[in-house]
Amino acid sequence: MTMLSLISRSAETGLIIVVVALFAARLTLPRLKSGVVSKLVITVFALLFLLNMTLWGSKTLLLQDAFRLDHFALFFKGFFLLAGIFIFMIAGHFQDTLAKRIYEFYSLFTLATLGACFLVSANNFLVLFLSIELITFSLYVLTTYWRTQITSIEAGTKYLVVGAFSSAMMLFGISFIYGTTQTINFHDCRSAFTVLSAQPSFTLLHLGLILVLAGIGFKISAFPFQLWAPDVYQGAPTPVTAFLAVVSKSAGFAALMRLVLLATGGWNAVWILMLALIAAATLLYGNLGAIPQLGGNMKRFLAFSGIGHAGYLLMAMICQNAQGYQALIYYLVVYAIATLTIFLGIVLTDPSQSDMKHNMSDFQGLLARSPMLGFSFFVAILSLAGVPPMAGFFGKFLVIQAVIEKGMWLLALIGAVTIAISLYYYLNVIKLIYADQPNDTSSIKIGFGYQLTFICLNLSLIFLGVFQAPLLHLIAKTI
Amino acid sequence: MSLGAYLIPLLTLLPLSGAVLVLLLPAQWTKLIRALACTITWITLMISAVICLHYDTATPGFQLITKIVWLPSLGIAYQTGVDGISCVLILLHAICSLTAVLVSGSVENRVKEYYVLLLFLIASIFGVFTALDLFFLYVFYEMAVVPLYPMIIVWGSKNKEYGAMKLTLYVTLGAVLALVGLLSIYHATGLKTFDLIEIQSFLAAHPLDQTFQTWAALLLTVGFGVVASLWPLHSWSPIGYAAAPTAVSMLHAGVLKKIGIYAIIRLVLGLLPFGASVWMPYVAILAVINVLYGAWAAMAQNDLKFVIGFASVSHMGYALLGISAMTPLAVSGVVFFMFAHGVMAALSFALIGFIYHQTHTRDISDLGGLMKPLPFVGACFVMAALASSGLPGFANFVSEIIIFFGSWQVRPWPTLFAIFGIVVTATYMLRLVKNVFFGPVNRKWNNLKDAASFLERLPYGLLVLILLIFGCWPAWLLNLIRPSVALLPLLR
Repeated sequence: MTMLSLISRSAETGLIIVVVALFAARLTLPRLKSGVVSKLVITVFALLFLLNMTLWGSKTLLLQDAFRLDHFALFFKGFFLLAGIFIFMIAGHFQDTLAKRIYEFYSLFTLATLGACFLVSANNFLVLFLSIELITFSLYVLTTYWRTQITSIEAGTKYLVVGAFSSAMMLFGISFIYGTTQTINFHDCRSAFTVLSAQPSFTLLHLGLILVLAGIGFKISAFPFQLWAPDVYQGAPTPVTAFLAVVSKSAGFAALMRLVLLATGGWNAVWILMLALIAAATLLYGNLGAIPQLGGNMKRFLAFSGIGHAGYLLMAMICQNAQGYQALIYYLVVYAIATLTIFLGIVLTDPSQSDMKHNMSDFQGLLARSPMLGFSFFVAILSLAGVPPMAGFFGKFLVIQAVIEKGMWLLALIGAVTIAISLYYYLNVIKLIYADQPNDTSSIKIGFGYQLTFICLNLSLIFLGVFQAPLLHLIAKTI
Repeated sequence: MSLGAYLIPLLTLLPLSGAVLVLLLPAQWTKLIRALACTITWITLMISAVICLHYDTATPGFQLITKIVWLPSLGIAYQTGVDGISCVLILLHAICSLTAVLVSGSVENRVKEYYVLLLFLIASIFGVFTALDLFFLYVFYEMAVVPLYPMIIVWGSKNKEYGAMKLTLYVTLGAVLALVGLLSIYHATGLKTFDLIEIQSFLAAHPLDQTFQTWAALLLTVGFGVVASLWPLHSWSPIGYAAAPTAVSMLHAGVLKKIGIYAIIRLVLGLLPFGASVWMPYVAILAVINVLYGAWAAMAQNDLKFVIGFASVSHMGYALLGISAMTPLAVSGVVFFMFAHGVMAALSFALIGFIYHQTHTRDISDLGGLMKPLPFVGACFVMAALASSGLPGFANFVSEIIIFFGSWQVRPWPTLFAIFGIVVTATYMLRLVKNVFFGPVNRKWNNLKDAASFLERLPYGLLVLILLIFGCWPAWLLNLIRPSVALLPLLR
């Protein structure tokens, strides 16, 4: 396959064209109905997904070894594009309130997706940093997009301060790595890593790596870099929160996997201990922190539960073997489907879009108001809680299985006990939706397209939980 | 593979597809939904009876095995089959399911959802007893816990939200501990398979390291001990049963609790004999506390369901005592006891459900003299109370006596205390019968309606009949049980 053919079919090229087209449309067709724009963008994303999949099987380095195209990268690009489609559907419900500024909103989302696609193809530290910055910069603007709301401004400011700080740390770390290894390329860094391990400058290299990991730690909201998440999740417009919870988090984990697999020769016992402590603390913080959020704000609640899920993903990360990475990717996919279902459900429950607060009490007796929404929440929440036959169970099963294989008993036990803890707050949400009396008894009408989407999402959660083999087989190819 | 082997996965698939079918039916078709649930549970009872009759006791290993490869990379296969122990439990579950569906006629609101969850619960429990793959055994067990929470909070009574949460959290906490234990066995064998038969034969030839066995046995015993209401992890049980709707109490006390005992027999005694021998002396002490504490607490209750709930905690002590003795006789007694106690517990909860539906109270002090307006139900309740206190003629007597014979030589002191428990049980049971069914009639209960039609009487009559039949003729079940128990690596 020629380089030109590869580049023309890559997701990045397509996404750049979408951004340009959106700006052009903003200048020439400002009066186009926002519903049309949203449908067009979703169609283009679906086409890009198919185009991306035609590249499946290619394995090559492009642009002076800066850009790596392989199964792993293609899998994640496809994942981001699919997630992008659902996020545009969530945003589509938001379009009336945005009215004129819809073009910028969509193009910023496309830019952030572009950053994520570049990130999983990064083969040197510079591309890694630039693509993370592309995601973060787009999100700085997106989090403040609801500019008449003070909470949105607050969220944006917090995200900006914390994000800038983490980027600075990461850049600082990269400078250490460059200083000791004289290279920014992952592959050369890996050889230097093995050579330098005997010399005193090894500690400087490690310091650099710790700083880079800390930078990624912010993106995936791992303890102790998780404090921004609840405020930002709560304040940001709901589609942006969905993007943070799904695409931004998975991009962070993909980058982490790439770093460990390509740029380091694996971790020694001290690193593993440190990361195991971080994973355990993340698990406990997220799952215990979610309990006081019951009865409060739904998005804030999901931020805490999302931190808990980052803990399970880190557990899988620590195993550093094919089992662990497979578990991680499986868990990410399943987490993404369940989270997107919930966010889509959240925006549809509050059709007025008055303030985007989404208090827990809005969901009381949802099953009676809309059986489809209620059932979807039921399935998605049980999946997040790790209850069979939903797919979330199998994700947790794989993670704990991989950790036990490594002989990390204590971590496995903490992971197992937090499943029971998390069940407490997830069951409370189930009670809210399933058994409580609604404040507002009016029934909620959902369009045919959304109903179909919900059916697909629910079925995929059940299907992946019962027939795990196809997805696991696909994932095994990416490692 | 014989045709009969396909009957076993059918036990799970039939109620499961029933649940999906009911989910797709319109909610107004309640009559069809009820009829469908009845038919399905009736068919599963027939299938279970056929399996029990078909089981060949001359070759007592696992029979009627089917295997569908599920996830070869992890060694997961959907393998089903039965031995004498699971035969008995399948029969018990089929009986309890049918009667639970029959007494569910009194459920009036959200009928469709109720039957979806009930059928799902029934399917999952069949799944646990028929699975011969550790992964599927665990999955079905967890699946059985899920429907309990929504069922209790919607159709339950008295402090239902608290009870439902406590029950679900305790049982899940036990389950996840057991999961860590199961996975550790999976990795320790190095076979890369969850196939129970393969693991069993491998471990019989190559026992695992003793320290490992000790820890794994602890995780599994505590994990599954929770659902068997091992003291001090029992406190979810009376509160949960009091909160649950009748059918859930019946299935939970009758069958789901037995999963704990079943899993301990199958996995701890069967796979980790050394680990079991380390912990079983402590289990014996806890079992005695179960028996005496449960009986003592039952005596102080004023709510009918709490009395039966604590009685079931107390009775599970006998089963735990039998396991802790680790002799073939005692373990055979435990399996028979699970059957007898399951039927008795289902009967008691069904009758209490009937009384509560009529009177809207379960306070013993409010009731009294009910024998006069409710002669049939009263008679059944007296039978259940006598069975519960271990009167000869009922299956419970036979099983308890076998447990005591089996455990006497190994654990004389705990057995002695446990036998004393029977006296306490008889005391509170007879007092309960006196206060609720005899004595002066409270005038407001004069116009209660007894179960009159055949269909109304069927569930209670069936359960009483089964208790009496197997009380007078225990040989058939014991012949099923004993050869299979003899295959376990127990003390001789």
